[in-house]
Amino acid sequence: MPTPQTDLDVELVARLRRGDEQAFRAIWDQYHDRLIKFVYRYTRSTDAAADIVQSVFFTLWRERETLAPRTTLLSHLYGGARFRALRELRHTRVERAYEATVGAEHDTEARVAWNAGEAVVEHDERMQLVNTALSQMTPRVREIFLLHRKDGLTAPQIAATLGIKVQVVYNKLSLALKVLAKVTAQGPE
Amino acid sequence: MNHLSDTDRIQLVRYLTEESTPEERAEVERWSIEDPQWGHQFQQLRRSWEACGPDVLVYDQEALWASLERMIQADTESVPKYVAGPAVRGTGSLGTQPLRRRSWYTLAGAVVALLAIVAGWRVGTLYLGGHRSVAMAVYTTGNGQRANITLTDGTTVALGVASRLEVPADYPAGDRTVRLQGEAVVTVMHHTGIPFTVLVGSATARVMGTSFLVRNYATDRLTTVAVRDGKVSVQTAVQPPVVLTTAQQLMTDGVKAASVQPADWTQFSFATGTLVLHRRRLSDAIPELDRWYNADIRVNDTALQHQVVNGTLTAGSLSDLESILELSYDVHVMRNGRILTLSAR
Repeated sequence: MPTPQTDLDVELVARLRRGDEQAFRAIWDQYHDRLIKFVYRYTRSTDAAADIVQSVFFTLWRERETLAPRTTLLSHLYGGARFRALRELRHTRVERAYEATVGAEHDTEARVAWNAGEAVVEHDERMQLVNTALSQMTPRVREIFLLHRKDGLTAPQIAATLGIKVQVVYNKLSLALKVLAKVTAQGPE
Repeated sequence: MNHLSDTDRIQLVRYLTEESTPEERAEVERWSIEDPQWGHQFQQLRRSWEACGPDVLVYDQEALWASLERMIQADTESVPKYVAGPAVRGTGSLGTQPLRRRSWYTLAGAVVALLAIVAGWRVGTLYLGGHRSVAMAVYTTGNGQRANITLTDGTTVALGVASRLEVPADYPAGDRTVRLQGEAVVTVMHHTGIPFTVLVGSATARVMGTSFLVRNYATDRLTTVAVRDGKVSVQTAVQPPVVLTTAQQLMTDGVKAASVQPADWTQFSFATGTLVLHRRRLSDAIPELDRWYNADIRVNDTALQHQVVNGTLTAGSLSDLESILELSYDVHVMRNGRILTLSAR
C-alpha cells in the first residue's frame, strides 16, 4: 500500500509556508490523483470531484502562510476533501444515491463515456462478493474500509483524517471483516 | 469467524492492513497451519479483502493543473495583499498571463485530453509523431489490473495488466490510429473505408472488422501480433506489409524480417482473466507473474531460475500466488509485503 514519507511531507509543508511554488507543485503531484479518486466515491461525478480537489489546493495555496496541519499533510488534505465532498452531497441531495451505488460500483464491464468521463474496471466474480459485502456494511464501516482498500490509507492515517481514535478504526475494520467473512462463506451466487 | 474473540479479529485486521509486527504475523499464520479448515477459510477471506483495490478514473490532469494556476493567478491579482511569487523557475508557472477564472472543464476552444490514471501513475505531455498534433486519451492499468474499454465506434479493447493504450481524443475521426504498450486484445468494429491501426513496439497492425492480439512489454524482446479472426496487415520498418488471417501470428524484433506462424491461443486468455504459462523458464515467467499479481518476485537460487514452469493461473491476490508457488512449483516462499523471495526446498 503506497504511503507518503512523512518526513518529506513535513519538509514540503515548511517550504510551502514560505511560499515555495515547487513545493506546492510537488504536493499536487503527490496527492491530487489519489484525492480525486477518493472524492469521486462520494460525488460519483468526475467533474465534481475535480472541482472539489481543485478548491482544496486553491485553499492550500491561499492559506499557505498559516498552514499548520493538526496531524499530517495527508490527513489534512483528505480531511478537507472529505468535508467538501460531504457538503457537496448535501447540496445535491445524492446521499441516498451514494449509499446505494457504493455497493454497485463494480458491476458492469468497463465502458468509457467520453463526455461524462467515467470508467469502471471489469472484475471477476470475486468482486460480486465484495459488492454484496459492501452493501451490507453500515456507511461508517464501509467508508473506513474503502479508505483503507481504495485510498491506501493506514489505520493511523484514517484515524487522523476522520478525527477519531485508531482503536475505533480497527474496530470498524473488524466489523468489515466480519461482513466479508459471512458473505465469502456463502460463496458466489 | 464467529468463534474468534474480538482481540483475535483485530489481530487479523492488523495482519490484513500489513501493520502487524513480525511476531503478530507469525501467530496469525500459525492459526492457519494449526487449523487447516480455518486456513482455507482465511485464504478465501483474504482474497475478498484484497480484491477491493484502487479505481480507474478518466479526467484531464493537465487542464486541471492549468486551471488551478489560473485561479491562483486571478486571485493574486485581485487581492493586492498577497504578493505574487518571484519569476518563473523550473516548472512552476504560477505567474502566467491573467485570465478570467473558469471551470477546468469549460475551457473554450481547448482540446480536452482525457487521461486514465490508475494506482498513482501519472502521464505527462503526449506527442504523436514528434508534434503535439492532437490530444490523446490514455488508459493505463497497473500490475494486477485489467480493463475493458469500449471506444465510441464500438471497438473493444481488453487491456492487459501493466499496459497503456493511447487513443486520439477525436476518435474515430481521423485515421483510427491508437498506440499500445503492454498487451491488448482488440475487436474492431468495421468502419466503412477507414482501417483501424495499432502502433505497438516495432510493428504497425492495420485491421478491418477483426479480433486480434497485440503485445509488446518492455520486458519482451519481440512484438507480437496474433489474429483471433479476420485479417490484419502487419508492417515493420524492415519488411513490407504481411497479411495475417485467422489463427496466424507474427513476432518481430523490428530488425530481422519475421515469418508468419500459427497463433499461440494461450496469449489471448488474459482477456478472460487467465494467465497461461506453458513451458516457461521461471526467470522468464517472473515478469509475467509480477505484472499479473502486482508482486515483486526475487529468486536467488540460479538452479531455480532455470526451472521450467507450466500453469493456468486466474487473477487473484498475492496470497494466492504464494500458495501456487509453494504447492505447484514446490518452492519455499518468504513474503515481505509485495516482495516474494523464492528458494529451493
